Amino acid sequence: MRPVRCFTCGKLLADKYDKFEERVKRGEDPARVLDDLGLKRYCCRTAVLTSVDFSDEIAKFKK
Amino acid sequence: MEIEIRKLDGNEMEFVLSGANPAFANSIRRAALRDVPIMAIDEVEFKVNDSAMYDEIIAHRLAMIPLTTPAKGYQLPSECGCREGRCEKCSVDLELKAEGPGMVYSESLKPSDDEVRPVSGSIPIVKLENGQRLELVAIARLGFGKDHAKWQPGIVAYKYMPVLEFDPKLCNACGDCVKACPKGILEVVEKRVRVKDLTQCTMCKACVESCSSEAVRVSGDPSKFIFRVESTGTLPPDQIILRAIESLREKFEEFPKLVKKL
Amino acid sequence: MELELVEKGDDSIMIKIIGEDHTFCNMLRAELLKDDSVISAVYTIEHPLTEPPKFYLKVKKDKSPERVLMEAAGRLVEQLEDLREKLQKELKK
Repeated sequence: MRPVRCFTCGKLLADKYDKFEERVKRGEDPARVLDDLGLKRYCCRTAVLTSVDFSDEIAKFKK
Repeated sequence: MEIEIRKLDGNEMEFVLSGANPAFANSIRRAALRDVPIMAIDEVEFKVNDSAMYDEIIAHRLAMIPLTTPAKGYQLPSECGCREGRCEKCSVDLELKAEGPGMVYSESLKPSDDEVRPVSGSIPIVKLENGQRLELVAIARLGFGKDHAKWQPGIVAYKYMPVLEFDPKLCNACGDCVKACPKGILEVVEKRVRVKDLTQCTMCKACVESCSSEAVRVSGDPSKFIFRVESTGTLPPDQIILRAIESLREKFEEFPKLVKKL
Repeated sequence: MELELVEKGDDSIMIKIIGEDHTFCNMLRAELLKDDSVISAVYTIEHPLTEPPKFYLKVKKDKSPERVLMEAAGRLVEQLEDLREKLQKELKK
C-alpha cells in the first residue's frame, strides 16, 4: 500500500495517487501532473512518483 | 514586534514577523509543530479483518489519516477524569464496516461526532477481495506532535527576510545578475537593478557570483521572518499559529510561579 | 513543567526544567540576554531522552537570579500576548 503521507514533510498524499496514475497512463507528463496536484516540494514529488503498490501480489497469500 | 499576513488561502498561510529574534521565531515554529493538540486515531478495535493486510498495518494507515479538530469540546486524555480514555469527553469513535470487492476509502469511516472526520474521503485504506470483510472501531484522541507525527498539524517553516544591496558606484547595469538569478526576481530599470519580489529570494548568491564588479551584497535580516504554514486540514493555519503562541504563553505564565516556590 | 533546584548562590542559579525542551529554554535564554543584569544565561540538554534541560543563570549583584528569571518570563508573556492580539487583528481584516 502506498504511504498515506509524505515521509519527509507529512503532506497528505494518499488521495492523490489514483489521479496521478490515471493521468500519467493517459499520456500526460508526470511533472505536469505533480504540479497540478499541488506537490511542490521534491520530497512529496518523489514519494508519489516512485512509490510502488504490490498489495495485489501479496493478497494472493493467506495471512 | 509586528505581524503582517501576506497570504491566507485554505490550508496555506504566509506571514511576516518583524521585530523578533531568531529564538523567538524558532520557538513559535517548534510550538506549532509539537505543542498544538489535534485529533488523530489512536487505537483501533478490530472485529473482522479478512483483508490481506495485518491489523497493525491497517491501524497505522488509519492513524495517519488527518482528521478535523473541533475548536473546542475535547479534553486531553491525560487531563480527562475517565481513566481509560474512552469517554465522550476525550475520544471520538469512528466506525468502519466494509465488504469487498473493492477499495475501502476513508469516506467509510463514520464518526460519532461529525466534527471529527477525515480531511479527505478519498484516502485508500485497504483493498478487499470478493467476500472479504473489514469491521472495526477506530478511537480518535487529542495528542501532540512531539509524541507522534500523526499529531503534527502541518508544516511551519521560516526564512530571514532577504536583504539585497546593489552598490550604485560599482554597478554598471550589465544585467549579468538578472540572467543569473534562478528565481528571476531581478530586472534592470533605468540603469539600476531593481528587485521584483524580495520574498522570493532564496539568498543563493548567484547574483553575487555573476557580478564582475562585485556590486551585489546578499544577506538576511535576523529580525524579520517570512513564515509559511501549511496545514494538513486538521485546523486552519491561522489557528495553528494562534494556539502555538498560546501554548508558549501558558508555559511562561507558569514558570514564574514555579520559580517562586524554589 | 516542573523545576528542580541543582545549585544556588547569591548571584547564580542552576535549575532542571523537567518536561521542557529547546522550545521553552532557548526563548527564555534569548530574552534573559537582553537584561543588562545578566552576566551569563546558558542551558544544556545532555540527552533528549535521559535528562531534562539544565538552565544556568549568573547575574550582577543588583538583582536576585530568581527575580531576573521571573522578569524575563513576564516580558515574554507580554510579547506573546501582544503578538496574539496583533495576529487576531490582522485576521479580522
